[in-house]
Amino acid sequence: MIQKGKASNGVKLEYIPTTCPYCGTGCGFYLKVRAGELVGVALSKTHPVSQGRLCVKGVTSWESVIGSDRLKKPLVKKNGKFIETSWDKALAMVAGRLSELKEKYGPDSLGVWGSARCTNELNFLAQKLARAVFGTNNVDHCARTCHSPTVAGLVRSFGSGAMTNSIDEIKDAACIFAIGSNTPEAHPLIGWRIRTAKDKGAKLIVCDPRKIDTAQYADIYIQHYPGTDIALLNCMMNVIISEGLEDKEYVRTRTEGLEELKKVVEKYTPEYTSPIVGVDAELIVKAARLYAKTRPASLVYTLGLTEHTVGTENVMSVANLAMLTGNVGVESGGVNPLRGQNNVQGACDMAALPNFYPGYQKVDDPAIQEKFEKAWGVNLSPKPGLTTTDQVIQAKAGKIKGLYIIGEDPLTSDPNITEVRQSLEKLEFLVVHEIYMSPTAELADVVLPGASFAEKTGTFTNSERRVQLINKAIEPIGQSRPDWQIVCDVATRMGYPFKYADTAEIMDEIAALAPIYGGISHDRIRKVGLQWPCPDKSHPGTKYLHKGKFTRGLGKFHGIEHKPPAEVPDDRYPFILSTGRMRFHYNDGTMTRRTHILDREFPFMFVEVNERDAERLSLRDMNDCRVSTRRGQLTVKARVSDRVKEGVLWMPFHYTEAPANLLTNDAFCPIARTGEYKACAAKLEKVV
Amino acid sequence: MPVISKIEIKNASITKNNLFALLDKISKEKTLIAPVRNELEDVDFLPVDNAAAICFDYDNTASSAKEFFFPQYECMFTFSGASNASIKDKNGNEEIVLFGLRSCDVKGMKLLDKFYQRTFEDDYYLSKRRKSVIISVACPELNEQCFCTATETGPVLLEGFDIQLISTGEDYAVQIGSQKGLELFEKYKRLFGPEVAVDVKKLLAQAKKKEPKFNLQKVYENLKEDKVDEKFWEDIASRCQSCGLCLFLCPTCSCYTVTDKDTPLGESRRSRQWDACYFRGFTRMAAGYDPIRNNKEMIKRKYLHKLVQQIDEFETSGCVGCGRCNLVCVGNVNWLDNIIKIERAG
Repeated sequence: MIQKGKASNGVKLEYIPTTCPYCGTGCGFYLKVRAGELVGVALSKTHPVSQGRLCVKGVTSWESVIGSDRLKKPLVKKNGKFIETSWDKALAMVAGRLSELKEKYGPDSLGVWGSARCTNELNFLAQKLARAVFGTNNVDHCARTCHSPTVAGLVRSFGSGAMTNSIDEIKDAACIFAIGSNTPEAHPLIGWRIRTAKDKGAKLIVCDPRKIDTAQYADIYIQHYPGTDIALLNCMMNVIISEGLEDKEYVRTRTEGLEELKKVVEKYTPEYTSPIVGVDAELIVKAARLYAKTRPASLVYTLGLTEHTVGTENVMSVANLAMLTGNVGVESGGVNPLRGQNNVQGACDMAALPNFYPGYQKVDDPAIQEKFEKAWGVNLSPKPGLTTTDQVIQAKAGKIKGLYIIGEDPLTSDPNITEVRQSLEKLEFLVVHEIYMSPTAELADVVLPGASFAEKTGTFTNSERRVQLINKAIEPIGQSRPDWQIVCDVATRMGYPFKYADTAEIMDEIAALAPIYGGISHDRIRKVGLQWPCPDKSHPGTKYLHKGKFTRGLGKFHGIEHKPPAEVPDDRYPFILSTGRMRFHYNDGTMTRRTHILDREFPFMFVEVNERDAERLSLRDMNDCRVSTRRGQLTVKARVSDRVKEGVLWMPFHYTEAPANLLTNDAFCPIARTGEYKACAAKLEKVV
Repeated sequence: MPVISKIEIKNASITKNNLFALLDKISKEKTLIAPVRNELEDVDFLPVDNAAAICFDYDNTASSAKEFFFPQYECMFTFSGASNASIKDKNGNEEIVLFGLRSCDVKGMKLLDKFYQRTFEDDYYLSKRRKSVIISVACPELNEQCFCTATETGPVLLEGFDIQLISTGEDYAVQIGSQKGLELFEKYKRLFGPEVAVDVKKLLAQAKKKEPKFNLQKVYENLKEDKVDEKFWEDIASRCQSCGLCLFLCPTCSCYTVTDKDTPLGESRRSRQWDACYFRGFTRMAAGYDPIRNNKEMIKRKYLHKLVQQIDEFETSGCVGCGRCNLVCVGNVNWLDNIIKIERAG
């Protein structure tokens, strides 16, 4: 039976202001709602971040959360199959099993994974669940897969791990140094600021193993090998110091540790460094001079730096470079890690992290512990917990027995997913919150359907520390519920009532406990949000950090030696395989693969191969080929161009049916525990 | 059947207060769509249930109102099972009155009216348009981004409107230009005042003299004869990031894609949603062949379509000079700047 379409002539059209659910740029726009359904996206000209613009993912985000296979009811695994059940039964099972495991094996046998895709309020409750209810600090989230080296590195260099300047300042920089960031594809509205700066006459230096869009219009483009950033940066500092181009006054008054830095960078002359990075010595010299002499200079980076076994050191190296040239604590300058997810900044701020309480207050600081024990009325553990990386490892070792994972899919997004599967299969209990079924959720004992960004009110914090509202536009689909409410029910059933009327009330508790959020409330952020630090209710928020002095007082230089990736090419596996993101898809493709226009643009997995490498293998564009590493193999289409450097392969990780992380190396930065997604050894064969 | 049945222009007037009263009445008796300024200071068309919600003080709205006739997403029909079916018209289209549309957007609507009758009658669009009446408001002056004087789509219209308001200071001269406009006027006659004559041709000449912006004929020729340097197209192609916004926002863009999808609650729907020629997937065919060979051709196609082909076919500019696409691009492509460069080429 066919029935002609519903009333769609404009009545009941509403515009609900919200914040984009995709990347960490945090664009504002309106969801169009008609007859209780999402029917489109409208622009906001006045929003401070999006300013009347959006990227293709933002403008199609209305379609991403209304796929027919949205999870609508709680699911419980029985004899290997999922059965729909009631919330009451599902929650009883979750609370019951977790309590049993806690009783039998102790609190530290459990772990909670917050979500960089969910609100601040959810993440606050997730860590409160772990700490106050389970009794463990084993709480973490997917920042572990990307920017935890940023937090670890910048805390060591500056005392604070956040993007130092604001997004809009980038367009007024005199020089932009972008390393390990495919800005126009991963952060289009920040890429816009780079484009604008260049159009206004700024100088642009781009360092990336792939000839990305910004490389095409850069003044200097450095195409270095993946995993050679420290050498490159040390060399630039070598040139700057030997030519006397450093900001001597700034270094003298605002930093410490210059001698240690000088000692290490001394040997990284252009001639020494050139063969390591695979770049002409002269080009590095040019870049160093241009960056040092053009002020203010904004340094922008993302996962090209962090997703390495030396991720934390990479971050400290860019911090070194920026401090050396006096570019931190100045407008339109700074060290600007572009956070990837809509709320990864917030999830860190809320301390879905094993070693902090909300607001980056240390878990092993007795005074802080006392403060939270008082606030929450329970004893808390003084022992920092395990990261997601180590929870997975310890699950395999039999130490972690139960995991509570909210909105994350490690079976797609962690490195070496074969290992991850073995670990998760060993768990005695796994509960997962999801909006769509995922490979990880398939393994769970209980799957709880969560409400999407369009179905709840709460806050996200973007990369420039701006706390913004998302507003409920439609009712939760099916029987899905906002994740924060699910967590409240679990906590209450486990003996600690979490009673909050709404998310505004949760934010009030956050403000009372986390000084950097002290002045944040839903009412205050309704129009343009507020950037932390915002210590009290009259504070207007903070545009850029480290003005006058660093969070830790003096900025600290660290002398850092180049170290190659954990796995380098050899005879059997002669290529460097790197992985990353595309403009039209987002992370594991949960939302973008279900959006018509996005999936249409790039519907299948591929590997980027350099023209000369392709020729040697008699490989042509769109031929099938097999990419293999020590961990697995995938047969995919070859995309041949001069985009990747010779000797380098690149794959997106957006396709769960051909997961790139089958191939990647589970080698981790020892400090930040982030995986080396950006470099491992691979071989390439034509498939006939 | 034309969407607008033209009549000989009838002149009237309305005071500011009476306009408010008129709109307030309409908002309660019919569905009124008007510009609304929200608490974030964005101005756009939304349904209003009283005149106090209307914003009268704006340059132009963020969108052109095509959403109400050609929505970003629209369910065309629902279906279930495989048996023979009959289409039940559940399209609850009521009459809407749209207030506050600018001349450029009226012209845009007119072009869409023609387009959706071009080869067959697109009932989804036309049924809504035929039940709508538009009270448009001429712009007192152009702003930096708009250029209706060059595309001959404003700031005031000679014909092709239902009811046109032209500011006379605090109050308005009223022109009724269609059968539907006349019917609306007749219904609320008491609120209108005596005829105030306006020399529209003079107003247009003055506006064009003051801000000519560019010569459309020159642009048309330079494009048609391919006189523009390749580097110009290469630059735009290198900036475009396929967000689709310049086309989604455009008052005359009419492209859509059709999908058959189930909703989360199990209803099977055929729907259509805005699509744009600035996605490679838009033109790419089965087996991956794309008749648009590169991004340069993709970019060029839009300029040719709006500034040559639609002029040839519809005898009116395909671009209505609203200026919205100038400030929507993350690659900093400014359509107006580019047209002026095209004018100067050759």
